[in-house]
Amino acid sequence: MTRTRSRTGSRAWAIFRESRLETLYKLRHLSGTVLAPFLDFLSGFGPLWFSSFLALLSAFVVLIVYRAFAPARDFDRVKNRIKAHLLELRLFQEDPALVARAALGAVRANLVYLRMHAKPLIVLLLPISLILLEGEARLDRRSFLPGEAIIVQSFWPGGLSGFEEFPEIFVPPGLVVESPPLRIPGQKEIDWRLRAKSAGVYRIAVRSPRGEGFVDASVSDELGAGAGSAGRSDRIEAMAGAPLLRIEHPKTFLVLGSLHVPWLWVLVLETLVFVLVLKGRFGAEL
Amino acid sequence: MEPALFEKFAKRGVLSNLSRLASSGTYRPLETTTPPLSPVAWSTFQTGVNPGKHGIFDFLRRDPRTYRGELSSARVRPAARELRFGRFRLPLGKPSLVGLRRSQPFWKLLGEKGVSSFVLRVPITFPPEPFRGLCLSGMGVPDLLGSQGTCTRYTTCSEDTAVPDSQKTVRVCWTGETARTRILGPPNPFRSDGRPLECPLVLRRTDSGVRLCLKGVDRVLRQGEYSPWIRVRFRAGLRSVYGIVRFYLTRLDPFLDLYMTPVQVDPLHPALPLSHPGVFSVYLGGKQGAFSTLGLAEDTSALNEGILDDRAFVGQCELIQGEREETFWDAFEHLREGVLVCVFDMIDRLQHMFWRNLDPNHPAHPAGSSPSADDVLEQAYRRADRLVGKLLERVDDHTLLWVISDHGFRSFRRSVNLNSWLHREGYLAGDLVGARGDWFEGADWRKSRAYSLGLCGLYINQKGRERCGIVEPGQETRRLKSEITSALLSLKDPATGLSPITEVLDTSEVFRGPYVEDAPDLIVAYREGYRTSWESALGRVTSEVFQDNVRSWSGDHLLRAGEIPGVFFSNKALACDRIGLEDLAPTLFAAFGFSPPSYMDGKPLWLGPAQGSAGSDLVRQEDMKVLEGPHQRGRKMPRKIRIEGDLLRRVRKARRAAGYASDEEFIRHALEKEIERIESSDDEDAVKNRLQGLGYLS
Repeated sequence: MTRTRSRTGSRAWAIFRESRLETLYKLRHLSGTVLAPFLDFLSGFGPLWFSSFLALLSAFVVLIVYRAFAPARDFDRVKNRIKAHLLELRLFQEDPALVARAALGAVRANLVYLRMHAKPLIVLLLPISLILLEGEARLDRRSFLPGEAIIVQSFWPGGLSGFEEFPEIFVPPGLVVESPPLRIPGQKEIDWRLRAKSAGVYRIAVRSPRGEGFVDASVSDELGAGAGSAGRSDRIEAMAGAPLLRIEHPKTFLVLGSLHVPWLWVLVLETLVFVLVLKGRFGAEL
Repeated sequence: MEPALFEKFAKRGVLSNLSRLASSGTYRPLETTTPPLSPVAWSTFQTGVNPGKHGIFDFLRRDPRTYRGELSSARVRPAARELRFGRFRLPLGKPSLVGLRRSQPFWKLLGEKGVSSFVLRVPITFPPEPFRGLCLSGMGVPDLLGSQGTCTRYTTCSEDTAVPDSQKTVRVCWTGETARTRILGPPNPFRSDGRPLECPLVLRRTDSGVRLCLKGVDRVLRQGEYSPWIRVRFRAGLRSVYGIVRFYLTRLDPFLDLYMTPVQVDPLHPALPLSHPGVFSVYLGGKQGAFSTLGLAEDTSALNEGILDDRAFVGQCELIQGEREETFWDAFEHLREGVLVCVFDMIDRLQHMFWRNLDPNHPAHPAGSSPSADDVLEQAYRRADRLVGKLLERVDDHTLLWVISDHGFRSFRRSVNLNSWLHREGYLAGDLVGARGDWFEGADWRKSRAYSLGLCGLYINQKGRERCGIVEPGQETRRLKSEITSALLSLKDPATGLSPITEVLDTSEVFRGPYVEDAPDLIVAYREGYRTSWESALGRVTSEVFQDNVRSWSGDHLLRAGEIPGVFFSNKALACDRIGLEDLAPTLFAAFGFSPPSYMDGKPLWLGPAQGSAGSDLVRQEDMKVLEGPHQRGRKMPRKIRIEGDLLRRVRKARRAAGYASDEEFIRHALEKEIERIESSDDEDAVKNRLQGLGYLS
């Protein structure tokens, strides 16, 4: 039996998620602004180097947090205990009662091990989210190529009914509006299709009496160029009911030899490697 | 355990559980071996044969080609081949590790019959041998440096005469509140100069003690406190060797005195095989945390040399006993049927080191505030009693419980340097007195007729056996043995007027079996209060034959076997008067309903209501399954050698007559002897060629 979320629940969830994401985007924006020159410099080396840098940064953060919040000795002890129970399974495999006891012991030790991770993981939630958002912004999407279609999505918290004057889109030269606005009342959304003509970072504005929102679109002649921080909305908070704008830049992959791998996989793998290599130096265990 | 001490404490009523065991079951003195030394006694316990059949006669054995002593129980040899690049080398292959105890332990034979065993810390089980069961090696396991225990003392004291062996002392200097030093590990296997591997250690003074900073460790140690086991990692190229150490802060002011245990093999990352199967030590380490793995884990030499004081030593013994008990109970929890053997060393070590406190005539009898031996030993006996009590609550009527000790104890007041006596009497020639090196440095073997090595053995420098032997075998050897025996028995200690030696045994008459020729030619037994000196055991000659024993090591057991029995407790009634160590293995066979192998020297003890049915009330044989243990799978099978039927029949006949435990053992021994003979003749040729090259021989 499958369970579907009710329409009201779904809306509430969407609002909750949106508000959480919004907070995170704000934090990222803050950290991104502070680190922008440095990150811009690093992203100049190419996506693979940038992901390696992010992985190293993540590893440092993970190790510092684990060192501060999880005693290495305790981790070591629990891991050895898990190993002991697994060896117990092997050493006493002829006796079913002992095997069952060993298996139970292994499960219990694993639960202790997981519980020990809880505190550092909670602490890590914020910094790692920021790093992931930075990674997403710079590695997840590429810039549009000249000639590609760009869909601008605008979300209106107050709904689409009751507009005195319908929202209008303003695009700089280099972009052309190709279609009339498409209204999707159920999702409180109005979309436009644009076409990129030449390279550049363009600020697109959507205005209505309720408020004004901005979003950047990145267009580049190079296929591998990242979208940077473009694609997210800037809202004028002073105006209630201002729209949230979004442009989905095309997804991109990191090229490892002949493989096209999602950046998140590479980041996680590299982070793991850095953590394992550096944990001794940090005196951390996990 | 010493029977007299047990009886003394039992009379005080403090050993209720052992007393209960004695009254409801059996308590007897347990006849020990000749010589009454732990390696010999425990080898006899496990094999059920006399030393002539298991080949262990002392802690040390001598190499007749070099006259040097080596450990009697195991031999470690570096990799046979290596590539050298200047100061560096690359060993090709692994070092070889060979156990030298012959015959078969009872757990191996019982395993072949489907009975599995736990063997914990039994002496002379290193290197561990495969069998149906689990084994953690005991006495004989070296530290990471390859010695039987080399501790380290870190001190800021610049003048110190109390510590004779400077290799164990590392002087450190405070720079402000910090001192930087290192922990020395095993020799770097990739360097030909044998430079040891090192691990940095930083000490920082704090208000309450010293902060120990090693890689991954940051711990404050207070005065009079032991640290937990600390893992030390020595890097050799891409490889790492792991050890474990404990620290004890003896004093901080006016100067630092920090004791570090020998660097022991880490049970979680064993650099040497500590157990069978190899993962058993990893399992134990994971379950109970790091534990001491050194054979002689209680650091008696540190107490002897004043690096540890009495209280610190007792504390160390208690910590180790705690670990042993934990290991024992873990095994007990896992034992459904079979045999569990565990050796607890604490009482033995404490009796060795604290007998001086019991004996007011001992030269090292303390006058000050040292803990009284009665207190220390009584506490140790009480701890053993508690363990037995706990065990009695948990064993059922089908379980046979024995509590044994391999020998008793007496005072060791005066030491006798047998080599000094041999030198004085003209049996041992050369410029030996005061030589600093061990193993007869300065001896003239072409003029020497006898020498002593180890704690109780005397060897004749026999022609054809020793490299530079001069005494003809047969009549001349017999005459010399008789001459030395008479002289030793008439020897008198000028200080007391007593004869220190009560018995000199000719091993060719005492021992039976294929390894008698490896035994010392004569074995010496002492009067109470006497023992061979440490120097004599290592082949050193001192100016005096007799010396007061002023060391802490003050209790020993080198008397006649009959005068120094151990103890034997059983929860089953036994109807025999005499029980010897060699009887225990055959009795275990009987307990499981099997006939003991015919080569065993001991006889099964009468265990139950009727001979022959003894095992039936202990183990239901139909419950036993003959299964291949997990540890036996995937083991490399030895290469087969074809032997013709007639030769095989002769091999079997000869090995039975000689008392070998198996055909393999007989063939292996015959091959070893032949190889030794060939190698020895090769050596002689090589020496001859060299002497010819130098112009000494034409």
